[in-house]
Amino acid sequence: MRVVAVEEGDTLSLSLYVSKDEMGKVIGKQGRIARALRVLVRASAVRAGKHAVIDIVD
Amino acid sequence: MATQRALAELDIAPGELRDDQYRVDVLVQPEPGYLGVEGTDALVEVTLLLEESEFPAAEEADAFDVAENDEEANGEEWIPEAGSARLRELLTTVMDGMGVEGKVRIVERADVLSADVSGEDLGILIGKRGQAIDALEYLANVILYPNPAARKRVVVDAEGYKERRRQSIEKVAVRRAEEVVRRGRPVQLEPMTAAERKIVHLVLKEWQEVVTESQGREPTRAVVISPAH
Repeated sequence: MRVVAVEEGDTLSLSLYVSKDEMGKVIGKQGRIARALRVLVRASAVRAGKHAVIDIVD
Repeated sequence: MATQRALAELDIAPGELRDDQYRVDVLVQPEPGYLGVEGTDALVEVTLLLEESEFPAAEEADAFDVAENDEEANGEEWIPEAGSARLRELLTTVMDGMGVEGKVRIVERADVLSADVSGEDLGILIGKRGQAIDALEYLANVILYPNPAARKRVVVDAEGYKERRRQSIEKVAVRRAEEVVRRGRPVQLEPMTAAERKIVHLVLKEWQEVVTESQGREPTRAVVISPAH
């Protein structure tokens, strides 16, 4: 998996490049894993005064 | 189709959103099938246009949905180590990334691996109503034990937050259940996270006089306690 981070102002965009086969492992059933990742990354960004956005791309 | 799949990836059920709550940008047009050759689906970008209160878990989240084949994944194996060492490594990595300082204490039993983080300022690690610590615990479960056949339950807590939360929710649940029994009328509790609702269901499971059920949609999904008939 490749992660590309782009910072623009106070928005941090993370793009996770995942191969199609492994997409399910990153997204999880009903998107649970992706959702948990977003919650955690957003919580981390708060301290830095940032707003974080995650894209999952194959 | 591509839009539906992208929405499904964002954990959004068909029809859950109004049309003005998301934006679809078509990046690549779909191609129809021809003489039994399968066509390709469109490549779209779906952007949710929601207020935080409407959908806190995925606001402004983007998803791509591609129907092309990509190169094969290189199958890197995770070498299994002792669960506690791996959990410690995972937690310290996440805490470093979050800028949270704390000590991690881990207890490993036959079926449960539990970690408690102690430190000065763990608010960010816990998150609003425990959302961050619940997310971390869920990820730890999935990462450490991807195979459900050979897994332990992983519990992650910070300064005993979950235990305190459990006790206070149990207290509220019991008090409201007594009210239901006394008045013979259902009551609806405050909206809760999935982990919080589970505490209510569990503590009232043994009660013969009441039944519990979750109603509504996240993030305002709430438990309703009703008299049993």
